[in-house]
Amino acid sequence: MLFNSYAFIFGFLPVVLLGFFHLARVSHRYAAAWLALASLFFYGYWNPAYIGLLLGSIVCNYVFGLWIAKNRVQESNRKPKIQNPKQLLFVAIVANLALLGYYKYANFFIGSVNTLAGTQWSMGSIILPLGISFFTFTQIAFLVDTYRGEVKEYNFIHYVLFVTYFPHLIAGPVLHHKEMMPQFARPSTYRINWGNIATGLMLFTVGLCKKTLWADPIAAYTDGIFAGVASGMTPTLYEAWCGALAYTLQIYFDFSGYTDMALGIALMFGIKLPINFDSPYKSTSIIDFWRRWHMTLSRFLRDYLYIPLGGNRKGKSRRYLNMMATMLLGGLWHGAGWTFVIWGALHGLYLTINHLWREAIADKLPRLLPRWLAALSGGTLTFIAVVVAWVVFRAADMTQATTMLKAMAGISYYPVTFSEVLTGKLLLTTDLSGRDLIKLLLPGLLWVWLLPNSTRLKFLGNNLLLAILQAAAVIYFLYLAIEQFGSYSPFLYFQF
Amino acid sequence: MRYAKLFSLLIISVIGLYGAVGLYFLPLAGFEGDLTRIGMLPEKMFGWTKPQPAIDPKLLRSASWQEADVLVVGDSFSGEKIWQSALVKRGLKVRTEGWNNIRGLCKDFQPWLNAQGYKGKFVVFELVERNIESALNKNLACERTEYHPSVGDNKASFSNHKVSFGRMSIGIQTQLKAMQYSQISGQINFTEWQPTSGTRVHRIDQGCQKFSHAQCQDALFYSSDRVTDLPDSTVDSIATLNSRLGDITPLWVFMPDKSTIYLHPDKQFWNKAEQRFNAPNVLRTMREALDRGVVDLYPANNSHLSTTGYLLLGDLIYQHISPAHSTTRQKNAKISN
Repeated sequence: MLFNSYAFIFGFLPVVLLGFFHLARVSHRYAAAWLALASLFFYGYWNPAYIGLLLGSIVCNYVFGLWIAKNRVQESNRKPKIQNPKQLLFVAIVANLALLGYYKYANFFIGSVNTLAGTQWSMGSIILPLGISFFTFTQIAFLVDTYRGEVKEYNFIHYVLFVTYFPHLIAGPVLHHKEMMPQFARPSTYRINWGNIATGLMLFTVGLCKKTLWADPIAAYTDGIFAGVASGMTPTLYEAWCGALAYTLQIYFDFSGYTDMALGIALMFGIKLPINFDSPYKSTSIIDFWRRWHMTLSRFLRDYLYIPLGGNRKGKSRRYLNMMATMLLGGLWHGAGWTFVIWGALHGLYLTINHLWREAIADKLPRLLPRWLAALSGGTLTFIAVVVAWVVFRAADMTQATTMLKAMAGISYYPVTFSEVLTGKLLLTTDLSGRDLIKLLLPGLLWVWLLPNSTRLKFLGNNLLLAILQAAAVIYFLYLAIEQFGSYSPFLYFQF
Repeated sequence: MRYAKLFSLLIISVIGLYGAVGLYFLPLAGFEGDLTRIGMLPEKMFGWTKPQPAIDPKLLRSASWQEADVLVVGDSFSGEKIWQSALVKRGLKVRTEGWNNIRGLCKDFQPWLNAQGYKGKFVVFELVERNIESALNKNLACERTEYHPSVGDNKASFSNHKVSFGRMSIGIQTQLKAMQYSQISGQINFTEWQPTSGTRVHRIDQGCQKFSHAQCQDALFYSSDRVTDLPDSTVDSIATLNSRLGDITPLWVFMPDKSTIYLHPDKQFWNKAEQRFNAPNVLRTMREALDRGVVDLYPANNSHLSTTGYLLLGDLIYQHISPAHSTTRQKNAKISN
């Protein structure tokens, strides 16, 4: 089920919300169980066949968690233990990765082997279960923290809810049990908090507008330009930049829109999900960018990959190697394809250069540039680097990416003069109107550069007139966003 | 947070009420025809009911540049590739391109076409009446072909009933328009009504012998359909464009507006084009089909032909490009130029 659908907004959400607070009056356990069941229904609405897979994964990981915890306690009490908790953790992680590997990467690796070795192996077509990367990573983190002795609560219903909680299940944020389980256990979660509902409604509306008023309309231009290049056409320099910028905005508005909606919905139920975006295109460096883009994934990769690999504790060269390995795997997490791996490698390279620059030059030289100019030049350079990497991320293959990048760099492009562009020849690889694209691009760029992050949004409720004005604005924007429904438009991150 | 409850309940009630009304009427926002969609009139009133023939999807595939015998450059009447199926069925290999794909019949069309590897003899240029003048002017002014192919439209399926769903507010507006139509069309002297600026409903003489929909006495038309005949200068423009084609044999197919077929059938342009370029006389063929009692030649809800109408068009075009006709037509075209 999509957040941007009639079924969700007019059916699922109100029914689940009413049921939750009604049952919470009787028992918090019932309310939590209701939410868990509703989350499973939400997941199964897409394909009921995969509910079994999700439940199987939950039960296995929960049992492994209990087992690891029990053996860990026995180990620390110096009692004779049944199993080594480290071995159990290893087996559990391998099982999770095997599941993910089968569904997400098997065909990619077999295809790569076939290309290299000239073989013809096949595993047939495998349908990727929705959100598998998210629920696998969430549970690996739970197992690792259980092993580290950081898990305090093992209530099964709360665990099911932690994994399946519908606002985050399919496209994140990547949750940590430490920030969720206490919230499910807290009695205040089960009482209606109108302040939370009001702010949640506002956040949901902003997210829905990002998705339906920006991401979806601009997607047509991204698809048109990239499809034109895929069919063998050479874009103009202007067109290549427009395509790259369009995708840069599309992926941000789509993913951060989804996250805003997830945060808003969760807040209506009294649950605070972690922030996933903090105006990433305002970053003044690549290091800064990764602190603002998909923050919960960055946190996961840092805590469960980069640091266990040694982080920066084993010397400089090892640190860069760890960083590169983390970014490569981060790229591969997004999808089974070489473009994702190269995207990860590009960001690994960017981060390495950024760290080297800071250590070798920026920290040692006195400030030559005024602060604002340094931020502006750093921000511009970072934005361009991010846009270039998005081209590789979006392209179907490296040939398509190279064509786009060559045109953007002015190396090889279809020649048009600027005056021709002004007279309607901005887009030549697609029939879409260049003027309409500019109408989306310019305000979109102004939004991501100038407006505060959506998570700063808060209901101002101490004045009646102000409350009514805010309600009118939310109703108007909800109406505009709902008016865009009518065709199936899934979120980009569903595929990851 | 004093007013958070008021704020939330206000939003939930307004959006909830809008949702309840909107969802109730949402089924009305599903449109099969372009005219019902633009005019916001329900399919249950103007949707055709008599079955139409099915087309084998294999006949809808476009041939490659290298293998094509016939190139079709056309607008939405050719985009579905239905009339082309009549040619494919008879063994011809047809490639279809939209006018937008090539930006027009530009001065470099012939060398550009050769560069694509096209070895066929015929190029069918199809244009709908309401766009003929502007399209010909654009073509005359065009210097350079800027080809950008459509991606992923090489059909593998066929359906006579493709419903596209509109927004919730469209359902509500459609209900209101339907009520308005019922009221206005019931008047004794009703002849015409414009539900939206883009469309008009017109009473048709003996409409129920020509259409199968529930309100068969009336049909929908584009407001922008031409009422007057095309000027003679149009035919001269075509001659100029033909001179750009060298040894390629052009076949101009002019699709009459739906209003021309049903409301203004006395136009002379098709006779003139036939005399001068041996262009298929689509108007005469369609009028003859109506006289034979063909129902839903154009469905009431659509500005395009029905599948029956497309197959008639395909047969007509085939007659003009089949080998038996080619020699004569070439001679005629050259004499006219």
